[in-house]
Amino acid sequence: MERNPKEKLRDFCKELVLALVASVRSLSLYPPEHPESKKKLEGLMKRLDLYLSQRPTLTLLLLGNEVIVEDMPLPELTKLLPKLLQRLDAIHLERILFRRGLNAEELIGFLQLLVPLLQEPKDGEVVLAKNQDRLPHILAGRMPLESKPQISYEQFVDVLKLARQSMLSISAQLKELFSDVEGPLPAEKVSLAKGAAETIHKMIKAKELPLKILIAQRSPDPSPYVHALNVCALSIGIAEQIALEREWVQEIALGAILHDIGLYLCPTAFLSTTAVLTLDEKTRYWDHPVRGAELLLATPGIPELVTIMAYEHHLHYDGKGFPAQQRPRELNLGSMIAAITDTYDNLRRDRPEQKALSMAETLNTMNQRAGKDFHPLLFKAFRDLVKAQASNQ
Amino acid sequence: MPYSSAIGVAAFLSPGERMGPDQGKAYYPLPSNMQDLVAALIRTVKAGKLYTSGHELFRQNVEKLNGQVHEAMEGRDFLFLGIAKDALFLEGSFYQSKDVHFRGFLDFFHSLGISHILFEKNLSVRELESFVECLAGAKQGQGDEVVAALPRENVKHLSLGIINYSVFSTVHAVAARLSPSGDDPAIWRQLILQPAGFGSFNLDLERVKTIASLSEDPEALKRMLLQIDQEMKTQVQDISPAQRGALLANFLENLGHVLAAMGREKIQQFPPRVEAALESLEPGLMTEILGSIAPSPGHGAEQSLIQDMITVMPDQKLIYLLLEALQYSGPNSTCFTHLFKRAVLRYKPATVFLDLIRVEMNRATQQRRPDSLNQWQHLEQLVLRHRETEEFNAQYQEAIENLATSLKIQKPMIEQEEMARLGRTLDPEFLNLSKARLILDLLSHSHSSKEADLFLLPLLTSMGDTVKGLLSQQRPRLVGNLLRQIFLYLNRFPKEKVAREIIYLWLRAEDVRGVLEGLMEKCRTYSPQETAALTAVCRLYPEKAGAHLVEFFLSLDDPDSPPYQWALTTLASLAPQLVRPLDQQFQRASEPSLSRLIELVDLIMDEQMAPILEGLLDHRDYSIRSLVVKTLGHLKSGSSVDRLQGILLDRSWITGRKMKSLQMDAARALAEIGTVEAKGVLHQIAREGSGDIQALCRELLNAPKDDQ
Repeated sequence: MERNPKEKLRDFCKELVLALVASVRSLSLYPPEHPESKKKLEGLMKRLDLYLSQRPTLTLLLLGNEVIVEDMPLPELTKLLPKLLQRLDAIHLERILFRRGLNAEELIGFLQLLVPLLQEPKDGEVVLAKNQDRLPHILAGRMPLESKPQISYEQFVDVLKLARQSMLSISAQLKELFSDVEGPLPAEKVSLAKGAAETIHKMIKAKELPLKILIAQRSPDPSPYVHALNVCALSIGIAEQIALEREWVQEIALGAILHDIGLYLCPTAFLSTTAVLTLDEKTRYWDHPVRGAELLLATPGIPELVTIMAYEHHLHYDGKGFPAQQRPRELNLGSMIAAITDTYDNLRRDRPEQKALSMAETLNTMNQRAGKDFHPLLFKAFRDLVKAQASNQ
Repeated sequence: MPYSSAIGVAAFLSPGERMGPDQGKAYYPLPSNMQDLVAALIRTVKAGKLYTSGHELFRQNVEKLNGQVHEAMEGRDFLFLGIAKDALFLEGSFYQSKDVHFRGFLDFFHSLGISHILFEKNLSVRELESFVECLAGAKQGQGDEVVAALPRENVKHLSLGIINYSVFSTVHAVAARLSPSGDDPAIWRQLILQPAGFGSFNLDLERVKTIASLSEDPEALKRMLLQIDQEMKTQVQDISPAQRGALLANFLENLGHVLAAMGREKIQQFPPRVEAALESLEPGLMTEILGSIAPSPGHGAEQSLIQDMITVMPDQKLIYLLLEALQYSGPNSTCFTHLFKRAVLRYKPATVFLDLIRVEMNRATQQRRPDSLNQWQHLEQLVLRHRETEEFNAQYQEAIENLATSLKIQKPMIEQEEMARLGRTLDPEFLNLSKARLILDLLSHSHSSKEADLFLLPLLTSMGDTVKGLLSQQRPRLVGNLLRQIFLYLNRFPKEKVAREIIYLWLRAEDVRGVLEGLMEKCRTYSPQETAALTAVCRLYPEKAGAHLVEFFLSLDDPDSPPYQWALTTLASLAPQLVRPLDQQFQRASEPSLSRLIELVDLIMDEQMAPILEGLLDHRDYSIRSLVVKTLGHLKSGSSVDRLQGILLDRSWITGRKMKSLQMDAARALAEIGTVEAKGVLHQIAREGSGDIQALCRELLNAPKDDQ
């Protein structure tokens, strides 16, 4: 019987991890030029090349005794590789990210760095960090700020049984949407974004995607896809709360999904939530509302409101924020909603400079900025929404 | 005087221990607290490369660095570290160290191109952390980007400088020359390099006397400024006028600071001396000097030599200084921005400022100096925009406060009204205008060439659609105001020339006429506020606006009236693009309006108009011919010499009184034109002619030139 694509991908990921382990083992016994090492390394490189020819990055997570490739948990490997996982844990190597452009030389350099650390894990984390400069296409180290998800994968599945399939599908759509952005979006991506916004809206309406979960039990996962999804869902929540017409709710949802599109003009932006930022990346961050609005203005089929939201979502109600304005813009309702939901979700996820805050901490922090960063009435509407969801048992 | 962390006056080394450049050895040894600071900074930058800002190891390093900075700063309001080629510049002296971090520190900042760091007393740990993050993330040569990043990262109490490193050695040489008696020249180095407005200087009695004498002897001050500037110009490769201006301004401000400490009398007599000395520098440098230092945010109330000079400067001089900065340094330059801020502080309310500009603009038109009109118009627009922005900001803040108050006292009506207002931000018209302003913001943002290629055309097309949409809705005034905003931001657009061409294609001549008519309908006084959009539309569509503007001008009678003056000035500013519309006007002009048209050409002074005028030299009305001849003279139209010669050599057997008068006018016009050919004709008549004409030609040839 023909296996489905998902099963194929799963097998591929499993083989890739095993090839990685085999290469490490081989390098611990032989030099890289040895035929045995060569064979293993070639097998690994071939698989990585294949994957990276279709995706910009490949992320391998090694959390405790779990192995996850991209979003795919591979529990069967836990039993196969207990010692190795233990040693990786000892050097706090929780994540390995391979980027497109990786070559054999860099890969061998990385594995040769890793081999002695697995035998003598002392200061392994520092050694890895110090050598990061030599590895432009590999990022290896802890998950940001050592945070663990507040709810496990299984819990998540339990809570959202109905929504699971749709969530995974939207997540995959958003991943597709944000990858390889080089200029104005093609028509397929515009449809993809509109489809995702519509689906999220429908799911909220049908209570398939409970806002309560997103508000109260948001995982600290820094993933940009989860962030886009959450900002979209919460923005829909506020828009519904203030009784906006359906067509506006729909446009605000689309604007919320695409609010950070300017960040994805650069492929390395995917790393920005976790790695030390270069000055160029910082500049790109400050410029992302400008770049996003430019990109959306040049994209056919994008409503004006969506473009305006991409530009204004970091502007504050009191005229401050960025991009700096000589005089305050009269901010759009959609932008002010996105400013609230974007801030909320950012505070609730891990960032390089700060661990994810709890719901109460986040609301307290935001409360102090109401009337300054946020429109007081819209923030009030958001608080009411949170309150209503919290009391909805 | 070498650096001391505890007290500024005392040397940390005894005189016997000195190893300053003047004692034969090049440098002082770096004090231990400064060595610690240098090491801590380098260590923290390294940590910043490895760990994110939230990481404990990074935070620990930043906190330690913060301690070192404040320890090194103890007792002072600031710490200025100059990073010379192989030494640290500190309080006027150069320091070296054998510590391994020291070389790393110099190399690191050299690789970025950063020449100095100024730490201020109120620097917070957060600011220091952001600063180090920027440094850690920067690549070679990105010093400029680090400087630009600091305000974005909200770092207010630390600044960086980017100057050519050879400035340090040149200042070293200059300072040695300023201390001919061989005493320590550190104070001169400090006066030139230390950013103005920070801290006091430690002076011995001799030095106090020398500096005091500068406030009494303008010649000595002039010589000193010339000497410093000459050294900078010749010794420092590629030093810009702005950099020279900044160093001289520092020096003068620091001198002013020292004199202020000596007493009121000294500082009061200093500004006029400085002004006299600045006049002797090369053209433009005075503007750079006066524009190089930002006014204090305390609305100009700071003790500052430059502020004092600006405050007492005659209006006309200040306005021309601004015009020069606008013309040569540009509206986005530091020099213009600083001078503009100082002028805004001086002229409150802004109407005084606007009136002064109008007076000078009209004077330039009357005196036939159309070259400067574009700059005057630009300056007027900038003042207006500044005023509108201030008013808008005040109204916006008031609205925010009013809403906050209403919410506190729970006024449901206000809440409902505010929600309704928010709802209106989703109206198509609001969205359309909001998008238009967004495009303006986007276009004025900096772009790489690739980004400009990718986005310029879609952005301008989108804006063009908005403009055309508003026009089709019969909203000409809105279009006019939008075009005014475009005009104001145009110099920030990427590929400005291409952008201008695209914008020019948005509207047809009849559209432009419609916009101008719509705007003129609301004009009552033709004040700067009323004409701002009109002027902008005319400048964006000179040829398309020309015909309507000429018709409007011909409809006005009173040359002293504001509409007449505005129309004349605007036409003069558009002159090079008016040839075709004026030609069309001449073709269909009635007798009475013909002389007005010629007067107009005379006033706007564009030589390209000469061929159109020459067509009227055979007009049956001699008064028209006479006007044309005089105007050709005013235009100094070299191409018209043959036609004028034809008039002078007319040998009709009966020369009437009118023709004779015309010939006299032609002779005067040739004299005004003044080219070799024109003079040749005058010589010919002076030799071969007869009567009054011959006498006039001789007189004209013998008359002294204006510039003699």
